[in-house]
Amino acid sequence: MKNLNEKQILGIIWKCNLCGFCPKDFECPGFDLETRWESSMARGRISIVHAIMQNNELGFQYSPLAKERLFSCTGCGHCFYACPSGIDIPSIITLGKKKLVDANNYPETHKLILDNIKQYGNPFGETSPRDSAWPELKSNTEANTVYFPGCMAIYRLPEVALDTIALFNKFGENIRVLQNETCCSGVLYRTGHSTQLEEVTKSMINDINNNPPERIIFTCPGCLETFKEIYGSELKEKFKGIELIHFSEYLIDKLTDLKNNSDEIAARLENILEKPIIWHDPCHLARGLGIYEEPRRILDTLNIPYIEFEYNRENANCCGSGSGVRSAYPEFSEEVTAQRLEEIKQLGAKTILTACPFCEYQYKAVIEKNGVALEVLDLNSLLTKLLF
Amino acid sequence: MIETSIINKIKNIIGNRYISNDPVELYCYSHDYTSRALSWIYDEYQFMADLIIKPRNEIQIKEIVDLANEEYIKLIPRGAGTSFGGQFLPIDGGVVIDFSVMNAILEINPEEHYAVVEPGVLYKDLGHELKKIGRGYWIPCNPGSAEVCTIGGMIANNASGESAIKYGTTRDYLLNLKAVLGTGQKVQFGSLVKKSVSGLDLLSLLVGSEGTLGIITEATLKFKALPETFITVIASFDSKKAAIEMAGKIQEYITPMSLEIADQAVLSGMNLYLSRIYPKLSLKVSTVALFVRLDGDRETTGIHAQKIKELFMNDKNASDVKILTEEEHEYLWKSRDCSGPSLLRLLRPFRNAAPYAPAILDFAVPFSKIFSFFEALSQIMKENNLGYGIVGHLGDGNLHINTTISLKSEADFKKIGDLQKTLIDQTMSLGGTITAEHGCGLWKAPYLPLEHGKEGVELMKKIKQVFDPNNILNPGKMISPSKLGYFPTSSN
Repeated sequence: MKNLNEKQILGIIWKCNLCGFCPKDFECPGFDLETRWESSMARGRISIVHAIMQNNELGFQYSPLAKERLFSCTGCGHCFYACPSGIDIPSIITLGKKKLVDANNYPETHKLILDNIKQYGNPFGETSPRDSAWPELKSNTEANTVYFPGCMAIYRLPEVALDTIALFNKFGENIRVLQNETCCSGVLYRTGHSTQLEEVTKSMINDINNNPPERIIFTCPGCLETFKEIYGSELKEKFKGIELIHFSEYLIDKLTDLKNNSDEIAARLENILEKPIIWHDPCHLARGLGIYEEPRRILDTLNIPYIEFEYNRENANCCGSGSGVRSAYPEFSEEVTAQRLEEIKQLGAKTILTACPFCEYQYKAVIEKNGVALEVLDLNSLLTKLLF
Repeated sequence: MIETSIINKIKNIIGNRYISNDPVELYCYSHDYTSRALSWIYDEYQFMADLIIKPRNEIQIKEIVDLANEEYIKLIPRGAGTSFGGQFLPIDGGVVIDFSVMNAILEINPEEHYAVVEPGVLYKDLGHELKKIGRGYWIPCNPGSAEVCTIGGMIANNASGESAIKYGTTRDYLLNLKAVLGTGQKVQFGSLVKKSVSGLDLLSLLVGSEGTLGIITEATLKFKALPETFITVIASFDSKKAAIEMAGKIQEYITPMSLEIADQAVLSGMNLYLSRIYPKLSLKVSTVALFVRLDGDRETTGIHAQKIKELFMNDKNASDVKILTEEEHEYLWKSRDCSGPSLLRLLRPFRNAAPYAPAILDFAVPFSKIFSFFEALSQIMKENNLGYGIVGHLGDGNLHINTTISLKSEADFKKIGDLQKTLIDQTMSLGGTITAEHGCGLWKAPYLPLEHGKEGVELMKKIKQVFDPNNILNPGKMISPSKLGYFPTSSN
């Protein structure tokens, strides 16, 4: 997904041949498997956006069906990968969402997310982070490495952030968090509110600009993708030259350290979780940022056995939570997750391992709701359990 | 427009959940690969149906056909919507019958080697199930759209592709068909026996009829044992003539599963696709390349692959001769299947947001004429100043020209029509066919008399009249006039 202007998107739309080779199965989370309407497949969604852009008189910008079809896209990017012409379909759909927002035809829950980010700096409307590590790390202004936990880890899954901080400490990394970390606001872009992006992130980006670190390390692939691909050139200019990486990339440099502990890890692994473990490729990490092998290399180095989904890496299926779909269409979002859980059941896995707090949170919520006997862990949490 | 009272009757038959007249849905169903290029004849909104329905069984289809005859409603059957001739585009309204939820595999009989399916079953899903049985089975007439097309669509278009040279077309795998004719009559053509000469071959008449004679409700297809192995040998050539002569030599030795040719532009398009999905493989962008796919038992296929490799190595015009690994083989054919769309991306400038239409044109000539044909096509495209790439099933004499056409002015529209006519004239002068596998639909329908003569087309119209006297089934396609209930013959 890239932040492209309308003319660029229109150029991409004209490159679409309307061949219909887009995924028409569970590879596309938004494809309605039961009724299989054309409007629910990528070609249909492209047609809708094209009509909204070029044929105002059709009035699709006010259509409830257009709203449902565009806002139920999780932005997983599977269609982009599958498209023979390499059409950036997620970016087309995102522009379509923006057009619907302009016409005030968008899910209520997205309005709430926007208001929360504007008022509280996070999409949940929370007033304070859920653990005590932040003040200390905020004051460490000399550190050259910034850790960017992201809202999901700060407000919903603090263990991901704490485990990551523990790993940083273990590797002797001097880190800090931003004085003024707010939501990266990727969710605003992905839900069609891209015009708000600069305003709501301005103070945080200035914070980075005022005391620039050498690198920023992310645990949330969605935040990293937002910094790398979605922010416009003006924002990017303010953190130009700063290395932006995911924690799994950071760990690649620590493989030798990790390897020294591999015997100990193997012994501990027996007791701390149920096997087999299955690796879930998060969409933003894998197709979004091209990070497929790093987590696998870490697991292989530590001799941690894991199994793969039948569809993995570039072909991996979405957990169902992205692009504001979980908030706007919770039932549909959970159905997508339930499909993944069914696949996991068929493969006999007992623990889901991933590296995205959004995927982890989504899996946990649906597992709990459906009473499934499965554990979900972030890669960093697993490493913490094994190393400490 | 269909009256509300009639829509209510249709709702009673199909059920609310499986019917839509939402303008957004109708708009989505009004597009396919050719819809933009066809805008030289039709207005874009002319392809919008009045209604989309999704029947789930034969009873519903029969009731819909009966109602359509009573009320004069056009019915347009549709599979996956991946055809290249506008076969499923409605003209000036009507009811699109989308088979995507009538998609059950009813029976797989490993003893008799046949499968019974509903028309909406995806070819890939059936293939997936067949692979699971014993050593594995397949239906080898795979079209380029094998990953997404439906069995019903394949039958209606007599689909085929890269393996037709050895394994033929969809028609060759059909044992039995159930259908509802335009008259409303339920019929069953064929049997469960692999050969039969009793009476006229009515089953074959329905195959490739593009939904103009009857609506397929069930199909029985025979399947074959899956070959033990597949091996691909590729080579680049600096001369088209040498490559085509080589294809002749290969066919003297063996009939391969596929014998494909791709020109420079197509190779660049394939590389663009490969760079995204499998960067380990990059094809040499030469004048043309040959891809030879072999199948069979491991030992024999290996011997054949070595022989083909030797033939290539001994030709001074060939270079980059290679027997592909299993993984390379898989991705080469994936990129070959997607070569049209990949190439078209290259042919359109990225920054240019001006309207373009894709066009994949399909012609075939006898093998002995293919070099002259190839040269003539290239010349015509150059004279028209159009970017293009040519790829084809060389063994079948079947070439596809991929091009993009600007849609900015009246002159551009005229160009599409003139180009189509010039290419068809060239094809006919060499004793070829105006379409080998993509079908007539709206694209080629006007040119049928050039291939079949006035008499041939008249005969086809009479057959249509018997099967569908009110012309309710897919009007405007192939030999059906676009006007409902009006059936012109040479006398009127």
